[in-house]
Amino acid sequence: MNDLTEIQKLKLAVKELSVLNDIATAVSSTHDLDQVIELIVHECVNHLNVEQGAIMLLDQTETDDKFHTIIREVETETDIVPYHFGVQLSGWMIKNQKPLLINDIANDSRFTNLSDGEFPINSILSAPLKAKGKLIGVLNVFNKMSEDGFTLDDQRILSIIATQSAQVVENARLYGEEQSLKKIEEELSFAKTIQTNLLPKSNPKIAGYDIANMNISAKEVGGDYYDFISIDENNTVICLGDISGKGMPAALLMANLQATLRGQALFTSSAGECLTRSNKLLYRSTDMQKYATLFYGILNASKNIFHFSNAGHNPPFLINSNKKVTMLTKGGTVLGFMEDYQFEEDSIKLNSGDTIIIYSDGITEAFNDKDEEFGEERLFAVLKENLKYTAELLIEKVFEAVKIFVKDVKQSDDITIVVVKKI
Amino acid sequence: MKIKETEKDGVVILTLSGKMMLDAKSAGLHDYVKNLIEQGRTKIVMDMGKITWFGSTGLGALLASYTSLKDNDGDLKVARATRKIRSVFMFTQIIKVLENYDTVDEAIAAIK
Repeated sequence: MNDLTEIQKLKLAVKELSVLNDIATAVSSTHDLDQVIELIVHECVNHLNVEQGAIMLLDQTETDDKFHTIIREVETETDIVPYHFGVQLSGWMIKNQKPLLINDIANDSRFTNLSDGEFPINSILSAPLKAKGKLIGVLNVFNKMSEDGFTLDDQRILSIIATQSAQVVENARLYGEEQSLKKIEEELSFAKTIQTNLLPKSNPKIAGYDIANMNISAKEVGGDYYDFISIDENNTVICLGDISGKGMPAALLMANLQATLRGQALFTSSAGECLTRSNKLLYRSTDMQKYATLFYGILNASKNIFHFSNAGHNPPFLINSNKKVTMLTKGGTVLGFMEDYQFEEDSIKLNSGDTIIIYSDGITEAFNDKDEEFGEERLFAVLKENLKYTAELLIEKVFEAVKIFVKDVKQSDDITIVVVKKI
Repeated sequence: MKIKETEKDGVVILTLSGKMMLDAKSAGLHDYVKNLIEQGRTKIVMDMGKITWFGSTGLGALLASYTSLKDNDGDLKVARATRKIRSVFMFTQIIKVLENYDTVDEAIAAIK
């Protein structure tokens, strides 16, 4: 009798080892979370002689309600675990964190309101999946295909499988997360490359003028756009705008905007007309949540006149040698918002010492640790104080002032500035 | 940003609070409005008195909401816009189509 028990024990041990070996071999072949789960469940179903199995993963994403746990079910077959039961089961597991064996589920007081006629589960065996002491999910098998139902030996072997599998499942989950993060990063870097390639590599050299720019993208790809388009020997377009959104959609809209503007710029010498036409084209090719602000200026270097139209961009300003400030506001609303919209234009005569500053809101909306923004007043002050410098140095002074103001606060938006000085 | 919904005289009032910037919640404002439109509720007043920051990105959600409502014979009015928001409305010239009212009740009266 004793010998038989020893043999049975040995047989059981061999069986357990072979199950574990099968699982180890199977899961080592893949990093894919769904596949890992499917393999584990498949082995459990085979070795424990049950109808079905499922792994439920707890997705403890922080939401507004920190105590709310989202239950993400990954199942080999759909709808094994009825929703309400799944919620109760994972609730029980979060609380108790130990194996659960039920052979007569209809009469178990721990789970209520399960049956609305045909409940598909009569017996269940569950074991917690714990990685580094933290509950990450539940391994379940349902409906033992023998009259006696689940045994304590079954419970023991499922617990061992759960213990062995938890880290594998967690690793696969982390691997999956890392892969999708990598994909996002790749897309962002691709978008950034597109954006960088669209922006001009150098400043235009125009006799009688000193022109400089600086563009610093925030870590994420933002939507600042600026361009210099040479129309003929006397006329150069200088434009700067901000495209709504970030990442790939913003980069694509920027490419679209640039192509549109570059096409239209050569057709018309009127800034307002160029924006009116470009707006119509953009409206038709973008969805409604996307828009761009744009300041569009044409510098005529022979007549020293600056024609401009402002499509909803924060107004650039002209500071003359007496430090008098003029805002360049004439224009209209943002591009891509209304299909038929007539943009107005204006022009200013440029005299020696006049400085035009075109910038993006990344400067005025740079925040410090007290949540205060840099603002226009500080910008005016630093510009007025440093007008004597070249365009390039003037920009450096602005950046220095912004840097001192924000201190350690991370830059959240693109910063772009273009300075045009009449020598 | 948080969105709180109430209703008065058949006009939906969305009380927005917090920072209206590039995050899921701000972009979600347009989805929220689209959902209201599907329910046939197309007269909306946005109470912006509790918006602490309004960047160019928050504007996208607002413009899209306005366009969707207009396309569905609805209307959008803004109430209690802060000085910062009014200045963005001003230089983007959005003010010409999206009127701001000093109180929610004035906005409701205007939209009815």
